[in-house]
Amino acid sequence: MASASDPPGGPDGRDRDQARVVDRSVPDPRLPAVGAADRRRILAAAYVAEADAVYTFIVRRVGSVADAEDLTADTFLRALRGRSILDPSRVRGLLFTIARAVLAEHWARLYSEAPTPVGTLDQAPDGGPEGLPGSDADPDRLDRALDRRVTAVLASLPDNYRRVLELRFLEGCSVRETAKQMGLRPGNVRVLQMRALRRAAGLGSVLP
Amino acid sequence: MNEPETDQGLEAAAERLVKGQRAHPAPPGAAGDPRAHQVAAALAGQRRGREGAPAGLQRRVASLVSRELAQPSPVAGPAAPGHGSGGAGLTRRQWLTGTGAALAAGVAGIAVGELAARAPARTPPTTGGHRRESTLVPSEGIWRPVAAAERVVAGAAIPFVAGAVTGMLVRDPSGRILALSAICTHLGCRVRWVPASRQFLCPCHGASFTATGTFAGGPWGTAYPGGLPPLPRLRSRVTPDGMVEVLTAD
Ligand code: FES
Repeated sequence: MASASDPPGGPDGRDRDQARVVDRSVPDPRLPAVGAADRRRILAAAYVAEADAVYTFIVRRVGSVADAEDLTADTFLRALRGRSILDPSRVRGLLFTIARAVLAEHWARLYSEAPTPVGTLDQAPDGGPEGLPGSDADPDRLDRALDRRVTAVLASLPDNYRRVLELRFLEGCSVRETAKQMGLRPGNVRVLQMRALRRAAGLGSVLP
Repeated sequence: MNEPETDQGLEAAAERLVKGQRAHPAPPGAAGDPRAHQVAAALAGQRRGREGAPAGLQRRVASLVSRELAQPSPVAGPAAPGHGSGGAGLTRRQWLTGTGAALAAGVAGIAVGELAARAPARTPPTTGGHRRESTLVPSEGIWRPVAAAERVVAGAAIPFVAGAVTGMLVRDPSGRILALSAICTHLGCRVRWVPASRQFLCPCHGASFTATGTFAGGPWGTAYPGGLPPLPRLRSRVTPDGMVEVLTAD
């Protein structure tokens, strides 16, 4: 491995960031006294253990498997490339913090014509400390918030709006199947779905 | 409530979500608000989340992790603005996902890299102390309006995306409007503005930059002698009717 990081002392002097610095010349006391190769294996395991959770966190927000795989790869690459953390117990927080940044970029990229709304997406909706770099994102709390919002949005929609969104997105029905189930023509389903999405969007952002 | 009855971009996005396909950038002129798309994504995500991760994902992540950790020096050097976050990262991503999913690798970062590559020689090299700011000037480009100048008040940073450029507008101490790239010069995450400390902070590994883009600190100790390069400046101007425009390469 490379030369050791010097003790913290960056110009910003912020304690929170300095807490992340790990002097690699000194073995982490929480790790068993092992060689560099073993330490690397332990660290690698800490990353790999989060693979499914990171993917699930992302797919729950982008809705598409292919996008979620890409963004998962992006998250791991950025976490590893910028490795300031060699303490396995910090890996989870780092990964989810980066996953949120990667998600915000994903939406900004898709909606590049929309500078203002996108610019606010990556702020924590409750103004909580998770919006700030240096504090780790808690994926479980964020997932609960997402579920609450999704439930609340569905609950506040008129019945036919809710039904069309449930059939289309929760159950993955085609426009034709949805039309059959709802006793509508496909064209009506398309219009209804757009109206329902816009109404739901008007209720506020679902993104935690 | 004068929304158009149809929105091709949103309708296409909805269809791709139901079919499980990749999202595409909204076509130019499509409704600029991503929230309706995000609602659909979160609903489809409920279903996809229950399906669990695709077979083999863990194995692919494992090889990515062990390859990366085997690199001799994880912090060998920051990404120069000329390289953005793309470069080798894109190759790895292609290897990981088995696709040329260029979109996912931080297109903004790559685009900045492209801009720098096309920049005339007067862009200062970012060797040494990185004290000098660099201005990304595409050799040919178009001026894109990004925000009304009156919105750019002291102490605030207005985010914008113009073409392939992701940036922030700020007022420098003399009151001039400054357009900065919002792509961290470490590994290309998008920096955020923290009003309380009047700094840009990068959510990925915690680099901070002053309001005029100078590197202010990071969690690496002295791993990067001289710090990171500053956030590149973008050529900007204010039109007679008060719009800030930024010069972009496409
Ligand atoms: S990408 Fe690493 S600190 Fe910004």
